[in-house]
Amino acid sequence: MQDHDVITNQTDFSGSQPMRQRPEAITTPPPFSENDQNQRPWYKTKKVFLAVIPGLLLLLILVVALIPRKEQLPDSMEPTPTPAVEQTNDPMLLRIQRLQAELQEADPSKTDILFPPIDMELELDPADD
Amino acid sequence: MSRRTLYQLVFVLSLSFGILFAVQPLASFAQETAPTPASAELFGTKQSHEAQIAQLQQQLLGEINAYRRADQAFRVSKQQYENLETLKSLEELVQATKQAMFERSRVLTTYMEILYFTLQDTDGVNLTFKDPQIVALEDRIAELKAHTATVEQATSRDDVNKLRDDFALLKPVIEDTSYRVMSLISIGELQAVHDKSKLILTDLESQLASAEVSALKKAERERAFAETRRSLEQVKVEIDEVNQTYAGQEDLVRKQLHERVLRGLSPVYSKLSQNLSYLAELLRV
Repeated sequence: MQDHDVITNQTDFSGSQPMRQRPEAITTPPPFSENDQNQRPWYKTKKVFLAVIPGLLLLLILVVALIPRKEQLPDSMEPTPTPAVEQTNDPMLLRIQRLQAELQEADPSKTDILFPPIDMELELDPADD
Repeated sequence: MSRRTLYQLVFVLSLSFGILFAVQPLASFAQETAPTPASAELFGTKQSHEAQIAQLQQQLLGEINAYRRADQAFRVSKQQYENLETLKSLEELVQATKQAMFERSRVLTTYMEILYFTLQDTDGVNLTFKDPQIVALEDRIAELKAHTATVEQATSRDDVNKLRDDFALLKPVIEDTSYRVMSLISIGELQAVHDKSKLILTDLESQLASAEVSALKKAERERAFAETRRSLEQVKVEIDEVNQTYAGQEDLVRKQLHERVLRGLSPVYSKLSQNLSYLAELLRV
């Protein structure tokens, strides 16, 4: 009889050992408040955001502004035929380099004041010789 | 993002753009106005008529193009007249000849002006040669301007033939002056380099004389200076020979004489280049 009682006490067993537990309720975090700021990682703080983002923007603008300037030089300034003169602080070497450049300009085989290509015998009727 | 943060961002961005637009013109202004020391030194001399010469060279290019078109039109008109022999084709030929003569005269005037300013700016030209050629160029320019004015007034076949005869008298003097001046400019430019090389050598000697060096080094330096001096003297002898070529041989056609001058200057140029290398080397001896 006692065994029968044990077997029939099924209600107590199922109440103390439930087959399926109800899932815990999902709790939504409270909205962000000033008090929570200390608990956030440093890179997510407002101060860092305010300091870094404008800084990066400024840097980007300056880089963009400085890079194309070299490319926008006028054509006349780019391949100047002037002889290259090395930068030097020695005044005597500078004088020599300057003179070397002057010599290159004075090359007699490269004169730029040739007689113009024109017909010096232009005539309507041949002259009476 | 709060409204305060947004305001701060807008402020920073405005400031960035402000700096950007202020800095860029300043940077380009600095680039235009401050030449590199080397280029400033390099072109520190011979500034007197440089701009004028450059402007005349541009003008000359335009005038040569106009002359080519006029010359082409003249040749077409001449061909047509020879084929048709009509009064109309004759009239067209007279006008085409006049136009070609006019453009030719303008080309020559501008060319003479370029030679005039270039010769004035060229250091190192022997003054006994330079002064007469300056006067000759002034004369040629005046003659050509008078010729251009006469061309403009020409209307008939006889007028154009008269212009042909007038120009036949001008032609030899124009060519003579041009080739003489071209020779003088070529000689003068190399003479100027020679003179400046000698000055540098003298300055270098005085600069290095005060430096304390060993006897061995001093002897080596003296030998190097002596060799450079000897080489420069040799160049001077060769330039004098070219000057003699220029002054003499009046019977030669000026163009041939100019070519002879250029042939004489070729070794001078090479030796001057070598001398400048010597001078640069002396700095390190």
